[in-house]
Amino acid sequence: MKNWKYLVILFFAASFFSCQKNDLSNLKDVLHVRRNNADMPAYIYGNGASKVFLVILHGGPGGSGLEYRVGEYKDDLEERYAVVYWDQRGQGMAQGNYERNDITIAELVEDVEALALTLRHKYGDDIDLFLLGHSWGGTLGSAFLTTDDYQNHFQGWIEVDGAHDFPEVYRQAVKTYQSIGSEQIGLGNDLSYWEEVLKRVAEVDTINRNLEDFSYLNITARSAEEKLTLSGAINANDLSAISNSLINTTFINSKSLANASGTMTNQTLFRNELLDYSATPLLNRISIPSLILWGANDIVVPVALAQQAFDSIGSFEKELVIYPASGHSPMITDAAKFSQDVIRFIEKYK
Amino acid sequence: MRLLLLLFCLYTPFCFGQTKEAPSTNPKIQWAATYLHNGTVNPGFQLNGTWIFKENIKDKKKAGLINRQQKRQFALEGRLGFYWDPLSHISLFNQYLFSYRWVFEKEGSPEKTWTLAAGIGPGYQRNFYEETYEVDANNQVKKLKSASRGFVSSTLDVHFIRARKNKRFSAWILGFNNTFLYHYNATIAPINNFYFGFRFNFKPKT
Repeated sequence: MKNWKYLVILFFAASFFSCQKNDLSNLKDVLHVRRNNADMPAYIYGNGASKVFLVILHGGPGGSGLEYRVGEYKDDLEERYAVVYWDQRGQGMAQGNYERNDITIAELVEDVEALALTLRHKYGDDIDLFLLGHSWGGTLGSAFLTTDDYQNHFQGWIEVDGAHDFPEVYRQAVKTYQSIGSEQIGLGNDLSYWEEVLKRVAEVDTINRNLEDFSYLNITARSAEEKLTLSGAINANDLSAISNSLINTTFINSKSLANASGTMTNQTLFRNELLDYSATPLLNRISIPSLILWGANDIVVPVALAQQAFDSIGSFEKELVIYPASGHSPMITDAAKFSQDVIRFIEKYK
Repeated sequence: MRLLLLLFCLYTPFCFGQTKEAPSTNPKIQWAATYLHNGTVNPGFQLNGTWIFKENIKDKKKAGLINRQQKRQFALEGRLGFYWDPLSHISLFNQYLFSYRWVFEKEGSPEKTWTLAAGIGPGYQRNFYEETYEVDANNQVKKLKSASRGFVSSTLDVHFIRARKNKRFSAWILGFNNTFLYHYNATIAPINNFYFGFRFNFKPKT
């Protein structure tokens, strides 16, 4: 019985070192990119032996990379490629000592380039990099790809329900609430909810954009999509996505640090830049292959922006895919089709 | 880094277990070792030294039967510890607290002494990152041998101490604190620590 202490110590020591070494086909790397007083973690999972790395730009601003390591789609993607879940400056577990005026779209664009350079430094110049941006990640990705010759770091661009044009998001959100709300009332679904929403949306100032109205449109879109899910217009989230999300964001990230920092980053970007930010006039600069994926019932970033992105992007190799039974996150609500489309695109252009 | 962390975890309790000296009888200086739990799941460890520099004692008679002593103490506390965020960083920190303590003691029953303490004070935290690449203004990438970042902090702390009779570890401690990191990504960010452990090398006066 005296030996039980040694057995316990041996068990913990063994488990401590058991998962340190990664083989390339099953990467589990965490590395930090340090640039201009910020340390930004990149969590890299999947098949690095493929030499294809898919960099995911998370949403928000104020989200985190690991929020996207959820559900079935990540299993399909990680089986074939290395997927890079990256925490942007001031978000997730990115840490630093800098001033608020360092939180700009231009600064975050430089951070994306630093990430691309770091991945090539670590994994070799012969890797293929693809960029995927969801929601706010679509804003950042569009800004990055239209800056100088930065798009040359990547083989392809995948925009998923991306907010590349905030004034247009604002305008289209009002129209989308009105059309979907009227439709739902016509169908007799959640009458009191939709009537109240339409009443408030009618008060939105569409000429003078303001943060209060934008916040209402943005926050209410989440509950509105939940109502659409209950009425069957949007597919339900798969349970594995919900459990993965809980594990990744609640139990791994230090939530209090991430929340405080993410909120500050969100507010700073919105107050200074985002409400008037539009990459649309610059999208014709994008010449790399592009895939635009969108949920037809997206209320956060309405589907009209998908067509706008498709029409504006300068690349000759571009494709638009709309998921009829999805909202703002088709990777969760149409996971199998979503991962098929991404894989088909990467296989074509890698 | 992981090896050092493991050795520290194993060595520290080992050292305490080997102490052969009698516990100190000086109540003014107290030492404690606690398991620390940061955030939701980050494990850690903390050493705590307390110096009680002022004490006010007031006798209270309860229903004429048992004498109770109410002590009010002012103390300075120094703490050194670490926690491990498995996917992000290892954090080393120190905290210096000025604390006020309510000690409730029953005459003739030192084992039933319990203390409630509340403290506030400054500190410093340094976070260490395992694999870090620095990209400079010329887009040159360099792998750093060791990367870390420091934050000045302040801590609000509440803990509860319960004496144990005739034990080498003379009391157990349960506490919670909220530490604010300054200039963390251009803001002030809170972290929450929960800790539980034992006081050692100290024997309450009877």
